[in-house]
Amino acid sequence: MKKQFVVLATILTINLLFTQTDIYVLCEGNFQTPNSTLWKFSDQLGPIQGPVHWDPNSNPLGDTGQSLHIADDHLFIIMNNSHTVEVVNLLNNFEFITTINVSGASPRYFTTYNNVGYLTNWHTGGIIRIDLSSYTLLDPIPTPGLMTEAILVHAGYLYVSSSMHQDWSNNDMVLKYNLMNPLAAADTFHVVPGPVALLAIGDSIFIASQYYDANWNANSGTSLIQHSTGSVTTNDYATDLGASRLVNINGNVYRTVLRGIAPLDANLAINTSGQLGDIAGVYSAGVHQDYIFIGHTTDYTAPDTVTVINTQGTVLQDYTVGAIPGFFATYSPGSVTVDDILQPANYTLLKPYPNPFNAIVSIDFSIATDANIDLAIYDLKGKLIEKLIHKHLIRGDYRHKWNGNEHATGIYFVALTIDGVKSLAKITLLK
Amino acid sequence: MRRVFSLIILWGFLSAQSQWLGTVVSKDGSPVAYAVVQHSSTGKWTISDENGYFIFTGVFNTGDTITVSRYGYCIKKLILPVKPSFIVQLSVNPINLPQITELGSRIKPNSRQEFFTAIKPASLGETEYNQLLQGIPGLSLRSYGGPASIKTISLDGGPASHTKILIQGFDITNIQNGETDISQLPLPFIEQARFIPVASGSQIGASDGLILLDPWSTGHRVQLSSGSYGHNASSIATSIAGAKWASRLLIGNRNDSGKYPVTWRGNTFNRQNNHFKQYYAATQSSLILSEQLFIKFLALYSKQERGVAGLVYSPSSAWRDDYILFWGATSGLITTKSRRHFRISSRSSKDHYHDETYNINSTHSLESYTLNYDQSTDLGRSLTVDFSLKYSINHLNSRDAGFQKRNTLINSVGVAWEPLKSISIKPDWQHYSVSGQVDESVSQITAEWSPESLTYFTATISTGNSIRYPTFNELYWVPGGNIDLKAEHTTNHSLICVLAMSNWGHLNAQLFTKQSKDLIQWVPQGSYWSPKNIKSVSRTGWRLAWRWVFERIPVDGFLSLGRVRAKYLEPGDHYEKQMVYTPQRTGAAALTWSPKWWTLHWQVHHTSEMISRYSWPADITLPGVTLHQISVGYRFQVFSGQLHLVIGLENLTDKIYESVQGYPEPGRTWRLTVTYER
Repeated sequence: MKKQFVVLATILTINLLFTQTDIYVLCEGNFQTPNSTLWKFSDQLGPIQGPVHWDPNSNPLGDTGQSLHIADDHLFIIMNNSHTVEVVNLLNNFEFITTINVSGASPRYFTTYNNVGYLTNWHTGGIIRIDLSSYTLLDPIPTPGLMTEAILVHAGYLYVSSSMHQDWSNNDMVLKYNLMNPLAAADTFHVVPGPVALLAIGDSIFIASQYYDANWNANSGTSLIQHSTGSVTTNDYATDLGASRLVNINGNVYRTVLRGIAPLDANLAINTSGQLGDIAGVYSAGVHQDYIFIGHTTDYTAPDTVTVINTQGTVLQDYTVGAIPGFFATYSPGSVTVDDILQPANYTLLKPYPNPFNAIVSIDFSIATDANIDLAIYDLKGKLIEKLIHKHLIRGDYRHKWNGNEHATGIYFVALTIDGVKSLAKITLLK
Repeated sequence: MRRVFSLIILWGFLSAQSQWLGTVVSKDGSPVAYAVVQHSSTGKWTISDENGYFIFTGVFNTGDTITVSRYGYCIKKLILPVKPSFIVQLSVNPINLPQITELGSRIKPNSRQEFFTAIKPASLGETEYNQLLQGIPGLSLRSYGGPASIKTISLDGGPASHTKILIQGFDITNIQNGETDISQLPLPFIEQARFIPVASGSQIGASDGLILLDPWSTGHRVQLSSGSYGHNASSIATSIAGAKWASRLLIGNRNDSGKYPVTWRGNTFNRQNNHFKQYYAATQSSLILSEQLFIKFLALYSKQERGVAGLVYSPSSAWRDDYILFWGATSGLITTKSRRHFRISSRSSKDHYHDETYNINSTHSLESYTLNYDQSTDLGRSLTVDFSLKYSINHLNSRDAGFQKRNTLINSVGVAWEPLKSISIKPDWQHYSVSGQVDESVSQITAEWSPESLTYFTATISTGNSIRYPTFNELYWVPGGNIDLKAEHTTNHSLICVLAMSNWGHLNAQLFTKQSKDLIQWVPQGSYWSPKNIKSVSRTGWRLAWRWVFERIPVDGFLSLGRVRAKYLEPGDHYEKQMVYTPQRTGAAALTWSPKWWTLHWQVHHTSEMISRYSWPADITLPGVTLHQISVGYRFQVFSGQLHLVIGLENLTDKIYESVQGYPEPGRTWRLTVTYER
């Protein structure tokens, strides 16, 4: 609990350090049409910008934008039906880096760990691994006969859902991999069929499901896996709740329902009295602090709308966007996605000292489990100044001293990344 | 009753001259069906169709004669003209008059017939359907790229299901999806295409008109072709004939690898899995049992094996095997006061689609049987009554749309009345009944004005409505089929003017409006697509076609232009926008120069920019494209026949273009064709 508090405190620190967070909206577009678009607005709720960088007529982003992921100041855009991952450096004025081709894979969701990208997909029978230094493909993690869907890193483990078999029949599995030895699943869980979204809060892994019966009638459900014990709780609603997305609002799990989002009770039942929003055609949801973003469409044709509400359900803003707003990601320079920030705390980055300093500062941190550690210094513009640590460490307390003698007076940031989860601290160098 | 006249209008490419195209019509412009057209010295003959149209193929010389005979009409003997285009008027009195021979003089044109005829003579070699059809103003050929794609026809931006494709009067529509995939029709099987913009009679649902495809008419022909992207094809046509019967046989095959270069986001690579193999056999027979009775028969079997290349950025490993087996027989009976025909036809097809990636292994088997009776009776007092009865039985056995059955009965009655010599009025009523699901009537009225003082001018105004009932796929496809769909209703208004200028060819112009209510359109619906009724769509436009044959210069050709404003009138963000995949402007032009043994041909086609998907802040568009084709042919006498050598280049300027977004078409393509015929 104490460590969770520290992480939340870190988040607050981030917000103090950076006055603006960008919210990226990926509009899926129509299947078999290269009309996916990317949009951006700030947490000041100013005007929306877009389509960002790509344009469907002159420079198409591609067909069926599936998901976004932000890690190490890079934006990864997963394009399902043009079979690519687009990579952008957000720190450097949205600099396009590369297109990673995963021909025929139908990629779905992406996460990173220890400079390796993990990409779920429908058609390769494995989880694609990408070396993020060279953007080349590594040996995949085999998942024979399975289509893989949602993915997240939690406490040194990779959780991957499989909503369908490769013959397109329903599946109900969540696979758990130890990231130190990811080639074979450490555990397998059976949840409500069609697990399509994962969310970790504390020790709990929530899974939202959607599956179709033989007549293409949709059904929804939610499941819960306790990370430490492996126990599974399921609740099959046996009815269609529309999109299946999960968000964390102040430590509580909410799930998309037909006209908004609603909290789940201890039995994973929908608490309809707590529903936020009353919007037709809810398709997606995201959260940043007290802002809740709901993407919705009724005709699956642009223009569609992102509605921003607060935690009381009050509508704050409507943004007009492209067809089918399907995914959100938030970014502050040097920061990470909301979902990543809200990962459970299994580490602590203590306040560096002395601060201000000349020319040596001590950086203390502790980790509760063995983990891959990256410790680095950035300047105010987000430029990497120096990598201090890049290795696997066993659990324990650590101290690292950084000598800033060769650097100019100014404000710097200490960035500690543990198992893909990042935390920041501001330091001031005086000479 | 009016005295009977026969008019023969011949046009085309007479200077090269192995092919005659003509229409037999009466004085008032009505077609004279089932006339026998015979080449006197060789005895070769053919029969005009129900629209009076015929194709006559052979090696003829100026000064040869042909005779045109038809029960109830006087026999007409024609001397092949010096001029490449001429019109002949026959004398009155069909009975007991001696045969008359004369050269033609100018007479009034007929506006109820073909608006445009797309011709494919042997002197142009083997050409793809886009080159053949694109002269039809307002026509778009929708293709998923290259030889392996299915290909459908859209007129004025309407759905392919709004245009009926007929071969010798037989409807070959696939009633599972309401469309006709013309890639199933081998190129040598079709000789030309005629466009009739206003359908009437039993052609319910053809709110955008009719395309009449005429099968091959050659006697003996061997054709070999080879070209870009692994194209090879061969066909053999032969015929035997007696005094009262004739039969033709056509067999052939085609093979394309289809690996043409395409570009996506700056990367150029070869299209894969786009192969196309086709095998086919077809036959035609005609039998004249008496002066008043004849039988015609047509059959086609074609089998296709094709790769499904998929989207340019999402290549597919799927494949499709399909075949179509079609046969139809027409029996015509002619009396002095009436003509009637009885048709029976069968269309069966099977489509096997396999996509391992998406675990699709589906088959669709379709059987259709049609009985059709038509009668046209002269009641005297300037009245003619047309009656038609058409009964169809359709069975579908589909993995995705289930086992379905539909019986359709269409009755139609039309009365043609000539209150004045220069005016003809014809109201039509049609009743449409579908297996107890639909019981509805539609109507149409046509008025034609042919002023006697302007014998080269005719104007026809028509107004009417039509209905299209949802197809099996639209109702039952899983997922997405919508059993709540309503039938489409379209109201048409049209004005067609025809100028027949002896020295300048034919000029046809049409103004039209079409208002469709509950237009059926497939739209995204979550994770799949589903058809829905669009509240209303209006299309307003004009088209123009000019085909000329100059007297002194051996250069003939055509110019066609079309413009349509198609408003999407579904309330919402896109209200009044141009309909998707509907170019506002289309145009084509061609010049054919035939100096002695050579044939030089140039053709250009333009399609303006069109919206492929409504979007925001800007719609997704396909840019306009102008495509040029050229060919050079040389012919010479060999073994009492003619050998044609033709080399052609399509997409001369190597344009990158798509007719359906994401499916690029080939760039510059060459093709060499060698044809021997006699």
